[in-house]
Amino acid sequence: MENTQAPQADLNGVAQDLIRSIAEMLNRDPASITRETRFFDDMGFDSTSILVLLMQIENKLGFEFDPDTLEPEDLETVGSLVGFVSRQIEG
Amino acid sequence: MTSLAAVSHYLPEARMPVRKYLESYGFSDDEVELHRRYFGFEEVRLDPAEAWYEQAVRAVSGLPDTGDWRGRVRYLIQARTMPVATVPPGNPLHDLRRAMDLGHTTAFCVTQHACASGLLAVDLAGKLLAAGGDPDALVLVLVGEKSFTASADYIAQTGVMGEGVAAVLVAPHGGRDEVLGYATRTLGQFSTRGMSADVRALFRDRYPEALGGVILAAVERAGVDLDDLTLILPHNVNRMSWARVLKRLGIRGTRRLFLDNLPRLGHCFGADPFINYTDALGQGRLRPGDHYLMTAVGLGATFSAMVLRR
Repeated sequence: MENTQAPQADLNGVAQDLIRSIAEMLNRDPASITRETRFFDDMGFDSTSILVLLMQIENKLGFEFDPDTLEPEDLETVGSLVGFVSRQIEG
Repeated sequence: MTSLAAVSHYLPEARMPVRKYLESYGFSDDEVELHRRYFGFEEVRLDPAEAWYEQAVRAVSGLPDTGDWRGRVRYLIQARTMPVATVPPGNPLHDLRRAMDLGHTTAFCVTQHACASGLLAVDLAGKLLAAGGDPDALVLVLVGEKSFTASADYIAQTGVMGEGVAAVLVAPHGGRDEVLGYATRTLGQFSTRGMSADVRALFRDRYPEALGGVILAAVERAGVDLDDLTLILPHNVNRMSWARVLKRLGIRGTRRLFLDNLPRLGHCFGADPFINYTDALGQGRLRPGDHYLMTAVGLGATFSAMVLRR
C-alpha cells in the first residue's frame, strides 16, 4: 500500500510556514488565512507583491524557486501556492 | 506585398548591470531581485557618451551594401516611443538624413504607438510604397532610442530600458520577409502616465487578453494558424507577463518565444522585435518559408502584432 502520510505532513508544514509569512507581511491574524484564501481578491495582493512574498519564502527556506515553472494558477490561493512551493522543494 | 528588404542593428558596447542601474533610482534589494530573478533582467547597454545620431548611423551602416539602395529610399521614418528626444533646435533625424546621403528623402517621426511604433512604421511604409507605385522604392525605418528623461529609464514592474537602434529597409514587394498580417489595438483608457494603482491593476488584468487578441487577429489576417508560427519575436518585457500571454493563447512552453535578449539587452523601446529578428536569424532559428510573428506593446496603451514569412 502506498504511503502518503509523509508528503502530506510536509505539505502541512509548508502551508503553516506560508500562512505565517503572509500574516506577518500583511500584519493580520494567521487564523484568518486558510488554504482557500485568494491572494488577489481576498488579501489585496497584486502581481508584484505576491512575487515579493515568494522571495521572502525563498529567504526563509534558503532555497531559490525556478521562476520559469511558476504558472498563473499557482498564485490563485494559498493552497495553490503551497502546491507550487512543495513541488519546488521536492525538485 | 510589403517586405523587409534588410534589417540591421547597433548596440553600444558599454554594459550596465541592472542591479546597479535600478539601485541608482532608489530601488530596494527586494525590488532589484524581483526585476532580476522573476522579470529576467540582468544588464542593459547604455553609453551616455554616444549620441542617438551616432548609434543610428552605425545601425544604417550595418545594412548590406547591395546596390544603390540609398538612392531608392523615398521616406525616412523614425519610430519613437518618446515624443521628445532632443533639445530644439537640434534634429538628429535630419542630421542623419544629410550624413547618410538621404537628403532626397522625406523624413518624419511616428510616436503615436510608443514602443509599438516600429511595427506601425513598417505598416505605414508599406502603405506609402503601395500608394507611390514605384516597385523599386524603399523606406528606411529607424527604431530604438536613448532615454531623454529619467522617467523613461525603466517602467516599474515591466521593463528596464536599454539602448540599441535597428535600421529596417522596407520594400513594396519581395520574396522574403513578407508582411502577411498586421493587427493593432489601442486601449485609450490606459493612456494616462502615472496611472493609479487601481488602473495599473486593471491594465495588468487586461494585458494578456489584449495582446493575445491582436496576435490572433494578425495570425488570422495572415491566413495561418498559431501552430504555423516558428518563432515569436517579442518586445523584451517582464517574462512573467509573457507566461500569462502564452497561456491565454494556449501555447505550452516558451520554446517558440525568443526571449534570449531580455536578460542581456533589456527593453530597447520599439527596437526589440527587430533586434530579436536579426539575432534569431543569426542563430539559424528562422529558415526560408518560416512564418514568424513580431509583437510589441506601447504605453498608451497600444497592442500590436505582425505576421511575416521568411
